[in-house]
Amino acid sequence: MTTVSESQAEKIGVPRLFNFDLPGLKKTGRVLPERNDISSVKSILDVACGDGAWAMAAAQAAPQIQILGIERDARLVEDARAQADAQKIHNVSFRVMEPFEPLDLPDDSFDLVNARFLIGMLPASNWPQVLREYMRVTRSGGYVRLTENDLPIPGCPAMGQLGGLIAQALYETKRSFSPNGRLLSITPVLQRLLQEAGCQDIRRSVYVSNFSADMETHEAVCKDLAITYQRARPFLLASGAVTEADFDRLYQEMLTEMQGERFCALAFYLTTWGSKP
Amino acid sequence: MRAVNQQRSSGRALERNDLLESYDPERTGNYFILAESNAEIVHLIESDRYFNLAMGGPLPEQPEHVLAGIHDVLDVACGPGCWGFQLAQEYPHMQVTGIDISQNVIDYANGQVQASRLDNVQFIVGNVMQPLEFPDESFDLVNVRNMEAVIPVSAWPGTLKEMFRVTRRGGIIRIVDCEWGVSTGKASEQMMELSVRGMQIFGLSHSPDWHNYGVTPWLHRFLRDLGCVNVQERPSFLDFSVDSMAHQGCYIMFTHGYEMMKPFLIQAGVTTPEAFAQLQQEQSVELLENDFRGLLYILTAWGQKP
Repeated sequence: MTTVSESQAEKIGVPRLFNFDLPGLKKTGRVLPERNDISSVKSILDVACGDGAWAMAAAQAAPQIQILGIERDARLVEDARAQADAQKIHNVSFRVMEPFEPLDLPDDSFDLVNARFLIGMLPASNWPQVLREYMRVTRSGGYVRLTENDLPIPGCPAMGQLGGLIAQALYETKRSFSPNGRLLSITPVLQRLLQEAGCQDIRRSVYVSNFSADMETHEAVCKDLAITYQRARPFLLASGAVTEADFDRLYQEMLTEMQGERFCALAFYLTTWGSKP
Repeated sequence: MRAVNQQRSSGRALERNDLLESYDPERTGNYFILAESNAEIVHLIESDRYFNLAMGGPLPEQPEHVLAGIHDVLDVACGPGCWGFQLAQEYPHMQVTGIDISQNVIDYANGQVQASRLDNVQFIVGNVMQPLEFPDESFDLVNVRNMEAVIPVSAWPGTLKEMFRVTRRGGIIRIVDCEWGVSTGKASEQMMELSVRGMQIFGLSHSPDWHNYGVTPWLHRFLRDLGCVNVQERPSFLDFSVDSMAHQGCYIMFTHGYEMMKPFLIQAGVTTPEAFAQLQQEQSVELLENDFRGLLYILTAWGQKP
């Protein structure tokens, strides 16, 4: 068993685990599907934007909105810039910046701060200060918007067990809100987190992504999960919650399950947003 | 509808401690918890009320023109009939029939019908794991809610086939089920795990592990397997956090629910009387704590018989 100290696991970091909102955005072009009228939103900060997939899809769908993606990994930022150039998307830009530290951005500068599927990427105890920072850069009357998931719900064992290992590792490293590592327990706390950050008029919208075999999003979501779970591997092993043998076996079994004709899985995800007074 | 709710909450004093002594589905035909106890009626009424609230009504996903074309409705495993009752009241043009194995809940439901003088709703005793006593193609909508753990996994295909058989061409088959919650409470999370483990032992759970109830991923698939077309899904959630609107009702729903599951879980061997009593104690405290947060996710899936 590869047991490394917890601090080493911290240093390795957790990637974004989920992107359940992406297929819907690409298909419908609805950047903020929870709202009918988004004319008041002219600028969006997308935090921990990763490879920029959400920011670029949103920029294409809403050319009237200026989108800034920030990401700690300089290589991802370079790739995202190259992509945006190649696709001639002019209303999106990317900057290298630590998304969970004080931001190098002025107060009151965005109509909306978008934070998607951050669960695991930062210690649970850091959420309050991080959200206060997102509030700071949001203009008065603007929104902070969080979208999260507690773990996909599979109908197959390997995917369930692998999810369980992730839940266990994030629990043990204090990166989830679960009291015992059964699930991630992030969606139940979103409203309270926004309240405590000073948000008002908080609302919620629930979505479901069914990525079973034969469903439209099956291939895209399965491919994405295969990538993100693989990216999470170093952290999971370093956390000591997962052995290399277990992870690799379950991972392979999950890939096989995903190809099955009867593969069934879905994820509920919750968008919670509130405005800055 | 509001008048009905008041009637439900104040109309009948129900004995909370009237609990089942043992779990014996072979004898009763009821695989989950016996509906012979008044406590379960309380539990089911509370569940229904908050599910309706969370979902936004009995048929919130159906557009007006579809609702106008629905005349005959069957509610399978209807429990105390709150859903059918509300439907009949909101849509006088519909004729609603509810069927459930428990004489006790059917008596309760028919008592409510008599008191209300509604003439477009009836409740009858019947076992949904047997062929239904209705001719082919007799209903425009056949509905089932929260059947997970009520019948064995192996009985689902047969029951769904019967539902399909009695639906008219062009009619709707509708399945609602849920993942019983995700929370920040340790005892609550352990209770969820115990429930799934217990259900698995008795063949009542679709879950491949113990992390989720695991029934929601299958609903879409079941409808397609039946041959339904235009299959769709709609998610909802119910907040049972300490400061939520539904908290008090959900407190009752959960504490009663687990009390009734006790013999079942002990018989399954996933807990002991002592350990379970301790967990119940912890949960009843935890549910009232200031920072307790919990959500329950519900999925409605429906499709059309071609």
